[in-house]
Amino acid sequence: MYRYKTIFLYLISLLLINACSPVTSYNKIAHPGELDAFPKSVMGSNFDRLLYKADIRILDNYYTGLFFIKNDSIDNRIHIVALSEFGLSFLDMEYHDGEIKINNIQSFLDRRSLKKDIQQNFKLLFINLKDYNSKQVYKKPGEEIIALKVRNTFSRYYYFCDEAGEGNIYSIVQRRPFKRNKKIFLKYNDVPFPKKIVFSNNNIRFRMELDLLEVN
Amino acid sequence: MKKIVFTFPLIIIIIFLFHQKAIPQNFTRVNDIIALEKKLVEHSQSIQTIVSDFIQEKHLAFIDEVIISNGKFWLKDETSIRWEYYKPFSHVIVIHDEEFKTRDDKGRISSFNVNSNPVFKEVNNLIISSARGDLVADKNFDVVAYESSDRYLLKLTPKIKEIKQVINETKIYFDKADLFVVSVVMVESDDDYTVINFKNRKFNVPVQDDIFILN
Repeated sequence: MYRYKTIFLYLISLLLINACSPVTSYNKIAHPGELDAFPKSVMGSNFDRLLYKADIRILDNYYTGLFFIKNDSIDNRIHIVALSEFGLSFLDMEYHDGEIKINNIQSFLDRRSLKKDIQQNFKLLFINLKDYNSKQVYKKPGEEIIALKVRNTFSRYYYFCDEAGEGNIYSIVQRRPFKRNKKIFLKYNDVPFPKKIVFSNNNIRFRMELDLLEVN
Repeated sequence: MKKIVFTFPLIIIIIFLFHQKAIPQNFTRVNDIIALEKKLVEHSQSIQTIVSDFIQEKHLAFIDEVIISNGKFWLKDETSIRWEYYKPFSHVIVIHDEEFKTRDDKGRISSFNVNSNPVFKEVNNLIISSARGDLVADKNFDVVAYESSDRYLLKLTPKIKEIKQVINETKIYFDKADLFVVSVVMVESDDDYTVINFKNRKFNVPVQDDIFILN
């Protein structure tokens, strides 16, 4: 009797996990060639500098400022610096070889979970999608939306791409066991870089909105 | 003995060079810092309002970039401040009655306690103290004063950890003619710093209270 109970619980768990998947209404595509429909990465590397306006909420605190992103093509690095209204930098990171390294962070952001989240968010924007080992492609029936599912340790990431919308990635969802989904939303307008990026993680009550101001 | 004879002058030369480097060019040290403070405080008591344009330059040395912002600044009775940024994006920051309000380019207003943003709080305290002229007595900083033909310079080195994490050193330049701040330089590291230059400064001009109220 105990054995049947255990099997039943496993089945219920599997059903729940599957029901929570962001691609439940999608069909898996066997042919990996569909991956070509995806951009190389969300941000690409075809820019010299990007300037975003930032609105950040952490717990009940609120911060505004600028995010300055500089592509150092000689060094093959992307520098990301967050500045307060008065120009003081509160976060300094760099993306290199598929990883984000934090060089400097102010104390109000210096929490393990928050740092990890920020690093992961920016990594998702800059990483070359072809670098993921495990990839599965899904397509929504009757619509031009395709999803790429990738794995990284215990997390699964879903990149959603609208083929009709010039093939831009408009959403990234992270699913982790027993935790609420973490989401990144992206909006585009003429330029190949996201005009708006919204990071939200309700688990740590963190939300950050970036609005594109300048492209060079 | 030979070693001492060689080493001692070398140390003296090194100390002299470091000392020279610490003094900004064209400036000499003000010895009577108390007298300078008295002068600044006395003068600030005659100022009720300040309205000024500002240009802010952020120098990011390691990526060789300067980010420029500009806008307008209002100060009334040392407690009400409005920073209105025009570039790189339009937004307003108001501090009034210990409340910190912002209005973004879409007209969205957010209201917070001023203590919720430590970086912002520190910079505002510096600006308010500069306007009051009581920086010299500020226990949070070691202060050294310099002067040139037309400027006073106060170099502030933070003593407390919370401020040190944000700013290594602040240089505040006062115009000798009107004894008000013309420039604030906040140094984060050797080559990474922010300069706020105040232009078209007007004193004791009428400033309506409602500009400090965002609705």
